[in-house]
Amino acid sequence: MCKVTIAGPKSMRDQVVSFLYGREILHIDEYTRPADEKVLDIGIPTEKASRLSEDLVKLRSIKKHLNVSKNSKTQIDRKVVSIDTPDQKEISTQIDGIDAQIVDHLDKIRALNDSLALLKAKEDIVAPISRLDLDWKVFTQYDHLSYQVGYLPKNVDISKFKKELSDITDDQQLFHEDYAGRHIIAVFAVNGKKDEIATLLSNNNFVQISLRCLEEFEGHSDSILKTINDEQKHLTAEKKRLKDEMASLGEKYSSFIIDNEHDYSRDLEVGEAPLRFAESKNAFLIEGWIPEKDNRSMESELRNKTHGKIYIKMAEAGEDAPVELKNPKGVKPFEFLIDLYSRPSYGEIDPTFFMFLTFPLFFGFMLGDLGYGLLTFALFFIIRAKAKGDEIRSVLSVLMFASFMTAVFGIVFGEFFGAEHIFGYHMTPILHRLHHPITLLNLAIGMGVAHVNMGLMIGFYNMLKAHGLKAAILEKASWMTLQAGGVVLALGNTTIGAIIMLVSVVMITLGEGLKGLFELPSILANILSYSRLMAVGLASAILALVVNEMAHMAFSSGGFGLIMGTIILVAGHSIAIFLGFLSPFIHSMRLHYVEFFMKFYTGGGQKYIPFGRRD
Amino acid sequence: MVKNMVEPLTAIGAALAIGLSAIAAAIAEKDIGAAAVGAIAENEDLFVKGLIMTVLPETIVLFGFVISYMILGA
Repeated sequence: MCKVTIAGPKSMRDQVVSFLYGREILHIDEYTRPADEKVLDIGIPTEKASRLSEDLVKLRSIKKHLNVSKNSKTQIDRKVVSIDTPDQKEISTQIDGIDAQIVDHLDKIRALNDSLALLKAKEDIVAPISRLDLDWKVFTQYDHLSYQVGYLPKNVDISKFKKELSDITDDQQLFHEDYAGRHIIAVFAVNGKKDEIATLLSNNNFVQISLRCLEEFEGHSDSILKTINDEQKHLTAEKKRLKDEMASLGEKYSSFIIDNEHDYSRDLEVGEAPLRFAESKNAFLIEGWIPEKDNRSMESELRNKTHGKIYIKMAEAGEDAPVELKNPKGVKPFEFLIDLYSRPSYGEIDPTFFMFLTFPLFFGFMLGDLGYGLLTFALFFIIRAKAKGDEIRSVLSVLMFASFMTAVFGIVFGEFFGAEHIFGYHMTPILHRLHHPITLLNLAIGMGVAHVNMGLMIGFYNMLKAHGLKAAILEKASWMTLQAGGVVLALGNTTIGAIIMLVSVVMITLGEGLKGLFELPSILANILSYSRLMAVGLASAILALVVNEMAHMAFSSGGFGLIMGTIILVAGHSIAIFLGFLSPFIHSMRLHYVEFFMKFYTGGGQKYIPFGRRD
Repeated sequence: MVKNMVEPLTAIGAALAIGLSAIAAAIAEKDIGAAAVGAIAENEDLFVKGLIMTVLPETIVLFGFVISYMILGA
């Protein structure tokens, strides 16, 4: 990276900005104004930017309401920056037009929804009452009569209720019918007995229906219900028509919306760029970084473009420069796992390649099943072909590598869906996991030793570059010496082993201070941590075995057992695959992040995002 | 009599080594995990940091695991 400073008169600003946007190489270092700064302030966006952002907000709301998605065919690369599009006014008017149509439609739909809700409420009242087969005009204001309409619970005995009612007075009439598991009743009685009847009703847990909002109705309750239903049908059809219209609007304008959203957000980014750099009254000052390989060409291009009216300065980049990861295509997906942790700091070794080597290796070592590997590889391949978005595709690529290694280790361990046969053909395992767990454990620990020391060696290199040979030896090589001492000790040569270890302890103390002394056992913990490779692996192998045995038991019982066995096989192996991916993924990740990275990785780098790059 | 007890006691010892260390790791991870989920709810970027912190005590189980293997193997 090169640190670039570009300064010039304000009149050249928009030209420079649009040039930089088109070139896609400058990572802008955002300007923050120091408190005591008098001359330079944050830049002011172009006048056009505020109009653009207004229109863009409208466009996006239209896009959301019309459900327009990005798969429109007219997805072209519109990289040409137009600082002043001549037809912007026209497009603006068009956007306003579409926006007005949509607002109109949405208002109408909202009103329809309100009416429909009201109708539904009315229907809920009229529908039960219509069962009583009454003319609506009986529900009116009487001088000497009062009435109550409502529900009685199912368990109320109507004939008993009728008798109790006639015990109160003879001047009454009861209408009743069953409705939706309750009794709908209407009681008409003389005013004088109103209170007694009310008491009787409430003793029977009566629920009253208020008829107040339905006074406008006339005629038989059946015809009222029919009117309501007709109205509902009419409004629903109207609502559907409006929705269809919206959908056809969406189809009609989808490419217009997508293209213009693209153009507008691009122009807006250019227009608002001044917010990211410094300006004085008459000049602008842009600071940022560009990759070293581009600095010469960009400088001359920019000079030509502006006829030498601007000042450009290139300088060596410091530690705060942004970091761009450069990896070959196959390794690239693993950058995702690195960024998940932290981007490397500037000048540090990018561990993506090491992750590419060991992540699938550990994963495969843990899951290790030919059947699982092949099945999931095919599955991820299909999903990846259909998936959109770089991040999800990266994850799937990583998983495909993991599946591949799972298949490879499946051959080594001789496992196919937990069994030792592939369709009758016996697989001869190179290492049988269940029969030789100690060998497996030793292998796992061996991989741990290799991995941890690989980390220490990278750390040694980083340290050598950053702080010189002495620091590298004291802080990194000392740990390797400690391990060597341990090995000599374990081999039986106590004196020499102890001496080597003592020397290494002194080196560690010199290099890392007292803190290093306390961390001495951590190297053992780190290495033992790799025994999880064997433990998780055994667990997954046994899980698959258990599924097979359960299925076998079901199969041997015959008849219904055949169906049960099939279900157990499919469901069991699905669960085993799911768990088999979840836990090796996390454990493999952890081995890298905790055991491996802590030996050398600093991280905390800033991502290189050149001005103008779009996803 | 005493001799007959050696094998079962060895097995119990191995079981205790892995079982107790697993409980210890679980207790440690419980608190870290709860705090990590809280932190992730506040800021999604902390997912990996949370994950790493949460799985750190797993090493305790692995020590127990190795010890129990050594007990059984010896």
